[in-house]
Amino acid sequence: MVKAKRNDGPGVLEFERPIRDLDERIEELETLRGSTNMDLEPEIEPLKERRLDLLKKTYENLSPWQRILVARHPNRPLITDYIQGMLDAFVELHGDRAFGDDKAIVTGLATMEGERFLLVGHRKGKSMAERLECNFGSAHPEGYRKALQKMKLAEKFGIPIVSLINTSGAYPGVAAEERGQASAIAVNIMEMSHLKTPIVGVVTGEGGSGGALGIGVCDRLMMLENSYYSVISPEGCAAILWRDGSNVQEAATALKLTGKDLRELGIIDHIIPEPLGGAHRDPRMMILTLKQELLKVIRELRSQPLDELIEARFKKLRTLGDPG
Amino acid sequence: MIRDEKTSPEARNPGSQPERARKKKEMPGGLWMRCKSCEKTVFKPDVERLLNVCPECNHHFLLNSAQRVQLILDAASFEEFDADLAPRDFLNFTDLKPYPERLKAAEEKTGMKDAATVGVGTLHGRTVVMGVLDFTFIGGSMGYVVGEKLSRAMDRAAELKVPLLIFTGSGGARMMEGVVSLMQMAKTCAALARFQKEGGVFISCLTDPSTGGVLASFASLGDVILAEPGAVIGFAGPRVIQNTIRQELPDGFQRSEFMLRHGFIDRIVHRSTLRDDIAKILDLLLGPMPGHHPPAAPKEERGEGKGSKKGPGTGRGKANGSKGSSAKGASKNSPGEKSSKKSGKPKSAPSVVRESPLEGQAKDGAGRVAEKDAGKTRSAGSSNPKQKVSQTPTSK
Repeated sequence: MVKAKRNDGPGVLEFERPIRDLDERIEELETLRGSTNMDLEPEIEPLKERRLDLLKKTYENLSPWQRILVARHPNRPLITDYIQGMLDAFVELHGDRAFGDDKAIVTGLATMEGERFLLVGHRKGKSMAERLECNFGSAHPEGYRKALQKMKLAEKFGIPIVSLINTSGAYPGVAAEERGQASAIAVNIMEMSHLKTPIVGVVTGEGGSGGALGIGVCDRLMMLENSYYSVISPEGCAAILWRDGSNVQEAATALKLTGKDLRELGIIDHIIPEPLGGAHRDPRMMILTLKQELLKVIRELRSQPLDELIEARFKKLRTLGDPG
Repeated sequence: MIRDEKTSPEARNPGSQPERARKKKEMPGGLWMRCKSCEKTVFKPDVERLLNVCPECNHHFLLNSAQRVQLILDAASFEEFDADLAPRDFLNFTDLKPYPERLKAAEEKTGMKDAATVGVGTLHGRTVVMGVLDFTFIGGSMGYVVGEKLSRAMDRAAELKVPLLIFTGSGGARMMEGVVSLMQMAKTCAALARFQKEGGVFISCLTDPSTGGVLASFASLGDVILAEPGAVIGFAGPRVIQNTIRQELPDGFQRSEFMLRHGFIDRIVHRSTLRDDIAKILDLLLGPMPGHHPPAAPKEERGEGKGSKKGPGTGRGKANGSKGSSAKGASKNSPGEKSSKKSGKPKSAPSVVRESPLEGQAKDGAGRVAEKDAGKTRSAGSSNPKQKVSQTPTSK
């Protein structure tokens, strides 16, 4: 039997290898069973149990750095998957009406189970061509300005905003600086702090600093279980504070960037559970879970008087980090 | 992200702190120093008289908070608030050193509990709320205390209905406070939005350096955004950008002049005229009489009337070139306004004299220096070609 190397390479994380090995053994036996009609159930079952145990144990005890690797997993569902799997209709709206259309941020009108909203989110891209086209999800100023222009549209028509955050950070480049990256993000943060419509933010993968916050000011901030949100990438932090990029694991731990940490610090409201073994193992399940969570939150926020909502948002922002 | 203090040599070379500079064993007697920018050896008293500006190349050295306050506000008018707000170690953060140790070292070095100083004072007699981020305290980085103090400054300015001035010298968010520090960007922007929506005026003044999370939040949201010449102003660190594009960065990249050219700041203002220019802008926005918040419409007739009384002011305005002459004229009003309001005050303090508020600190007789400086700074402005380059198209 040829040993099929499924998913090896970028799709398999180092700490997942024992799981992958079990997967392979199980698959081998199942193939054998299929071709020979032998009764291999007594051998397959315990393997499956072991696999499940291992999966649970591994994912319950992920180190912050391992969680970051899961958050960056190439098979993890991206905004295009959520659009396809979650929405009943989606009309993408392009362009910032000033400079261009940044592919790194998607904006459009959406409906889902009768709920209308504006979807805003980072787009990382699936294929290499697509990834290059959208700079791996790192937006330029025009991306943030596009997001704001569409968010104001949503405000005008009283449509809630759903923001799916997944970026390693705003694009660091000469053109981005020339076009005012800092200014674009600053304006977004300020405007979102008082935009008169409900805003839901979800970190679906990477929550990279200002690039995330630039579309991330909201009434309810949620994180998928294996996402992270940080003021700086652990690589950057290690390079600056440890003066050595190889200390990423320590940096990842020190930065307290997981959902659990940020829940304890009172930064986020809710952690959305992922399928066992991470969203990349079962994207369909992940999409369904997110859909249910979003519907719940959108309906809840919609039922609140807008004035109270805006006031509560302000209070929340104004007291960030306060003791107690 | 915060820039390490060590990357900015001038952080350790504040010209008007003789005892520290003397340690720099460079030149005998501590009277000479090497400019980190042009590398010329310059006479330290000259640098000090020019408010910590290199007489050769016009490089603006760092000012600490106290110096900045002294430079901008009327003498002894500053009342600091929330000075005791001390940082916390939210994350139990340890890199090569525990965060509390870094904080302690910074406190010992600067005498401050965190990088922000906020308070109320007067500028040409007009009450303002002023905040300063001091780069010498962990790179001026914004953690909880900085975000909170600036937000309180915004609240206070809203409450008092007075203008808000913030001077940034900061590498960005403080990574030792993790997402808490990132969220201070949201906090300050939210507080600022309220202040500005109620008609409050916010003048953001970017000094070297103003980068990262500070620039990507309140500092970019000034009703008027000023910058000192040659300041590093940008979102991403130059090394990060270089690693991304893998080529040399253009000359002057992420400097004040670059930002001006690309439309993100309103004016570059030389330190010698910063105080007066801010006063002038406030006069023009709010009307010359202090004590009124925006709803009070600017009354031009009144301004002109007062201005015409002041002969010497008009002359100085002309001397500075034609384009800015209206602004110059208005600034002339302010001493007049001040003296009419605070009748007891002598009229002898026209704005130029205030070009050397640091002189008092630099232990010279204030009057002597002031007179000397009135001419000196001015002539420096016209004799130094580099200064002219940076000033001519922008501030004059």
